[in-house]
Amino acid sequence: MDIPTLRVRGMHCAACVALITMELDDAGLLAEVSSVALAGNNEGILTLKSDDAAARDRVQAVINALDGYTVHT
Amino acid sequence: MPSKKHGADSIACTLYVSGMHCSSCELLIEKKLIKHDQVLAVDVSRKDNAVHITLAKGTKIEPQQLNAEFQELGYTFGIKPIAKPRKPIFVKRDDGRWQMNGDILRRAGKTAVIAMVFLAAFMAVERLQMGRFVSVNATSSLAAFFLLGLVAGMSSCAALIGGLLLSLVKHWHDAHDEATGSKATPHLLFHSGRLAAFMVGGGILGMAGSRIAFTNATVFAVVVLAVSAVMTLLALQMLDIAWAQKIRLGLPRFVTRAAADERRMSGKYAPLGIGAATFFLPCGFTLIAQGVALASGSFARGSLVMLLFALGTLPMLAGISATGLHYTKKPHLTARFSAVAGLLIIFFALYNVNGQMNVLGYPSLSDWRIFQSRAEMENLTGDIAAGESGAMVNGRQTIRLVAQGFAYKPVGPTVFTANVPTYLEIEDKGVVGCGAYLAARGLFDGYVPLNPGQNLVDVGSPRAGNYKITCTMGMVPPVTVTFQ
Repeated sequence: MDIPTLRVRGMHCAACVALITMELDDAGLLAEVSSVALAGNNEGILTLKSDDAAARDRVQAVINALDGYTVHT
Repeated sequence: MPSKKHGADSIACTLYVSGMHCSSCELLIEKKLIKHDQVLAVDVSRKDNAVHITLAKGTKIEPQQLNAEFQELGYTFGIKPIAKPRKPIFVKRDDGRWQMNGDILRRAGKTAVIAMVFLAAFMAVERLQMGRFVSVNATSSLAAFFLLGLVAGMSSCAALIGGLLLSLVKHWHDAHDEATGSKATPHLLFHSGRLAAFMVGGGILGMAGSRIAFTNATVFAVVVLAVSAVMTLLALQMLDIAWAQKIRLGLPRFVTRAAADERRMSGKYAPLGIGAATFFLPCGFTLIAQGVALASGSFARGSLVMLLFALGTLPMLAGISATGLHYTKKPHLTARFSAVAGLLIIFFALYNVNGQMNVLGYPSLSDWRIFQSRAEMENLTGDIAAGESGAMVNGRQTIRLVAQGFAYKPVGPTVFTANVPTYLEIEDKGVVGCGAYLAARGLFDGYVPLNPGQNLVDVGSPRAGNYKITCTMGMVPPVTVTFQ
């Protein structure tokens, strides 16, 4: 089974990881995410706990609302 | 800068934090600090390593408390400003030998490469006589100002004005229903007001410039040098040079605040007025265009300069209107654009400075023959017989030049006797651009407009010294004549 992930453009350092983690926590969505990590080349990877489309969309919306970060497919 | 609604019962304090290295760090610290109940507003500045906090009166926040909270993230708070560490020029290697600091070496290398590129570009511009396209007078192309507007439209100027426009549109639509006008109405009003204000404002500046004794080449040169200094400062800010960031340019805050006041955004014709008021917003590129309009010395030229500049900004601003998006949300593209634009602006500023050194008669890069077009210097001919120049005729001597294309060529010697009545005779065989306006500080005041054919100027009895004959902008490679 494929692990559901989101690739985020704009993540370049530990502060970005902390910032996105904090924003997801504030939005009550941290429970939907198993990890937030840097992937290099100005990108990060969020690993989701399930492939629930609604949860994925909410996480995506929170990240896209942050200045400088974009979820890309 | 996050903040909560608060009244006057608050106190401000500043802490200093080490460990920040990017804008994400600023945002992270701001968002974490604003969660504290006693914190009403936070503003973090990575450049100063400073955290400006507004606290509820009677409360406080201790650096030690923040250090415990932010320890895992690598930030350390204190009450003293953080001194920037000086980079040693030489560092000791593992094998005990000393070598130059790699960072400094790379920076020196980059600076040398940039300087060589600048000199090569200067040589190309001089030899291709491109100065004819960027001078400000009735015969020159004004396309340069449209290009300047295009560049401004892709910079922070567009972020400033675009943000204002989007906010204005929202307020306007909230206040007016569909019957008042289409969705395009506030946009059309805004851009119309902006274009009209820039055109009229530019004309007024040009008229003011003519009052500043435009016919005095020295005063004109000082104005251009001042504009070039502003251009250089803005360029250094775009290149993120620390000391340059501390110098802010712009109009008094009460003017810019009034232009951006949201309470004025709901009236039916408010977009027209607010668009016009953007003339006064502290955009660096606008200041450059305004300086050139002032230096143009004419209502018509000043109007055209500012109108073309505003038209240049229109595509990007219209794009922001249409989409509500701005590419400056992509930080890496913004940084790269700022660096390239900054270097280009520095180049043009230095080119202007070189030109004004010619106008003022001081040594300049143009004196180096390597920058002069040899073909132009060797192929010009005139009807004046070579060898007659310099000879005394009836107690007078004559400097003879031929003006053709974007160059002046002396016909005969360029050394004369001082304190002797002298004429300057120029044969115009099709000079272009600002080359049609001759300047020679020390020989005559102001400038001489050239007419096709023979032109004769009485320059009196010049004292001993070197004099440069060039165009009003100093872009025509100067001819230096010596009186001894």
